[in-house]
Parts: sequence; structure tokens; C-alpha cells
Amino acid sequence: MWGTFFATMLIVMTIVFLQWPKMKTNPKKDKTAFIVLLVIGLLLSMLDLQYMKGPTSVRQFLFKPFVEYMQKYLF
Amino acid sequence: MQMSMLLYLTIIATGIITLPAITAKYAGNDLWISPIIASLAGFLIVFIAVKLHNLYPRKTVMQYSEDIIGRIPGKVIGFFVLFFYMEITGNVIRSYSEFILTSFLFRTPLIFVIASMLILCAFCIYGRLEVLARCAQFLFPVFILPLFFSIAFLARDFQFGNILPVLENGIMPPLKAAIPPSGWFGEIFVIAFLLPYLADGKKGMKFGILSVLGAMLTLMIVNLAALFVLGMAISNKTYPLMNVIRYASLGSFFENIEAVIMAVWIVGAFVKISVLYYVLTLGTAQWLNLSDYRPVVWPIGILLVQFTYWGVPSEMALGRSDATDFPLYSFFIQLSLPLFLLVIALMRNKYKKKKVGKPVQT
Repeated sequence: MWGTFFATMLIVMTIVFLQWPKMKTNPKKDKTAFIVLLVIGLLLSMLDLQYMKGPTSVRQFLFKPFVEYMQKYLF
Repeated sequence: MQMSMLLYLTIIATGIITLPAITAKYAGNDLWISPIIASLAGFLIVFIAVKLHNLYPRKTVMQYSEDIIGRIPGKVIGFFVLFFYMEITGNVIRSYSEFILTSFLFRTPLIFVIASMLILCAFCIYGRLEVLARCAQFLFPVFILPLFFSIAFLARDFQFGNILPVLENGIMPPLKAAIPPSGWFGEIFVIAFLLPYLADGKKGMKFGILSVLGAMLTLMIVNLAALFVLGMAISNKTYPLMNVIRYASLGSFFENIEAVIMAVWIVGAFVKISVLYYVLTLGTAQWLNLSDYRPVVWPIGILLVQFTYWGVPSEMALGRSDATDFPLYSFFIQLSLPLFLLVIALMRNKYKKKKVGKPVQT
């Protein structure tokens, strides 16, 4: 599990290493967004995503009544 | 024209592989009618997106949603749209790589297939929309010609009787079966992100409708081909088109054309993922008011890889949600939200006109 984290860490560092010099002239906001998104990526890599409840389960939960309705009356 | 090729590939790429099975489950041998019905959703969405774009020229959804309903609600809607695209891009990549894995590269780790595709797409969109559009234009014949040739090679195995009886149980089964494909046609909503960057903005409507029409015809032909060859066995297969193409042979020296179809499908998936990825990065940059979308390309790539895994334990789970709640979700984000925005925008415009008109009257 930590393997994924360190692999992501490596990728993140590569991205920062390659992208940062190109962004020197960009406004501060761009840099912040860049870093925040990378940090979110890193944080997510610490979780066991594949077997965790994710956005798919959220949407299944949200649309469950409609799906049930559909299957009851249509299918 | 390039835009319509982009959009066409976006709808078709994953659709032709899994949709025949899903539609056949509900419609039986009337599955070829469903794309026609489902495309109505596509036409409606093109219409809404173009109307909104006419009201707010040279702006994407992210920008005009703020103009229409105010800054914070606009951001909220923007977040929903972005999250939706994040999710479906993840799902598309997942189903693409699962397909490659189950059909051809049995021993390759999943992450390798995902990462190689994403890196390619990231390079493509890093070169801005122009590169993406040219790629689509170049790859369009590569996608479409082999597909139709291999279907033509199949003609020997066609049993046209499979189509009968047409509409055995009335219009209802194909109507129900039209629900999942309309989720795919809903993806035409990416047009709302591309319209502002067209050289000739007036042709947007025409080419949008053209691409929906093309997608509809292709899906119909693919469904028919699968039906003619497999008959009622389609619904048991996960990838009917693959099974069908395996039958194709021409004079015993053109065999195993499915390898060609795999290549074709990778091409389609590449364009589709790039388009969605582009929409996602552009949307994020505009959502955060960044000066350029390129800094966020790579970070979002990492997030996308994670979204391909998140909450999706297996291909089966993905297939089930594709057939049931994906269409509803897709409808909610890509049809209801824009419709809602359009209605409010129209009302606001009328109100504005009245406001301007009043002082003149008094």
C-alpha cells in the first residue's frame, strides 16, 4: 500500500521538476492551483481507493430511488 | 468540421463496444431502433448548448453559469459539472483498459494500460485544442474505415431473418432500451466547451447535429451487424462487436481482423479520453480563474488515474452502473442543468428588456 504512495510521490516530484520552470511567469494563482491539485493527488494515493466507497457509490445511492422506479415500472 | 469529428468519436468510441449488449438486454431484436430514439436527447442537448452559446458568445459553461445565476451558485454548478467529467473520464479509462486486458493483453497490469494512455492524452492536450482537433481529423478515417470494412467482410455470415419480428412487443422495449444509449448521446454536451473556440461560430449547430446523426447511424449499423450475426445471443456477451468481428474473414487470408478492431478502438478511446480530459482541464482552469489551463494538465492526470480505481472494484460493477444510473446521472448533469441555465438566461434577458423598456414608456 505504501508502494502506491511512494510511486505517486515520485510521479508528483517528476511533474513538479519538469513543470515548475515553465510556470515561472504565471500568476501566483496558477501555482497555488497546481500545488493544491498535486497534494490532493498525494492524499488520495494513501487510501485503498479500489475497494473504498467512491463517487460511483455516491451516485448509486443518489439515483437509487429513480433506478428502482425505472425498473419497477419500465423494465 | 474538425469539431464534429471530435464529437463523433467522443460518443462512438466506447459506445460501439458495450452498447449493443446493454440495449439488447432490454430491446431484444429491436435493438437497432433504440439509437434513433436515444439520439433525440443528443439533438436536444446540441440545441440547448448552441442557444446558450448564442446568448453568451465566446464563453464556456463554466463562465456563463456564473453570469446567469450569480457567482457562488455558478461555481457550485461548475463543480458538479467538473466532478461529473472527472468521474466519467475515470470510468471511460477504466472500461477501455479492462477491455484491452480481457480481450488481448491478459497479463499486463491494469495500471500500465491506464498510465500509458493517460500520458499520451496529456501530451496531446498539452499542445492545446488545435493539436487535439488535428489528431481527431487524422484519426477519423483510421477509425471509421476499418470498422465498416470489417462489417462488410461479415456480410457472408449475415442472417437477415434475425431482425424479424420487428416490434414484436410494441414500441416499449426499444424505448426502454434507449435510456442507456441516451447517456452516451448526452456526452455531446462537451460541445459547450468547444463552441467558444470554433473559427466559425455559426456553424456550431450544423456540425453538432451532424455528429449526433453520424453517431446514431454508426450505432444503428453496429447494432444491426451484431444482430444479424449473433441473433439473440448478443445480450450474453460483454463486447458483442468483438465477438462478431472474430467471425469476419475474407478469402481465408484476411482473418483475425479483431486485432484491427482493437487498434481502431484504441484510436477511438484516445480521442474520447483526450476530449474529456481537455474539457476537464479547461473547465478546472476556468473554474479557478487561472490564466492558462496547461499547469493543471499533469496534476489532473494523477487525479484521473485515481478516479479510474476509486469505488470501482471490478468491470462488472462498472457495467452495471453504466446500464442503470449512469444515464440518469448523465441526463441530470448534461441535460437538466443546461436546460435550467437556459431557462433562467432567457427569463433574465426578457426581464432586462422590460427594465430597459420601462423608462421609455413612462
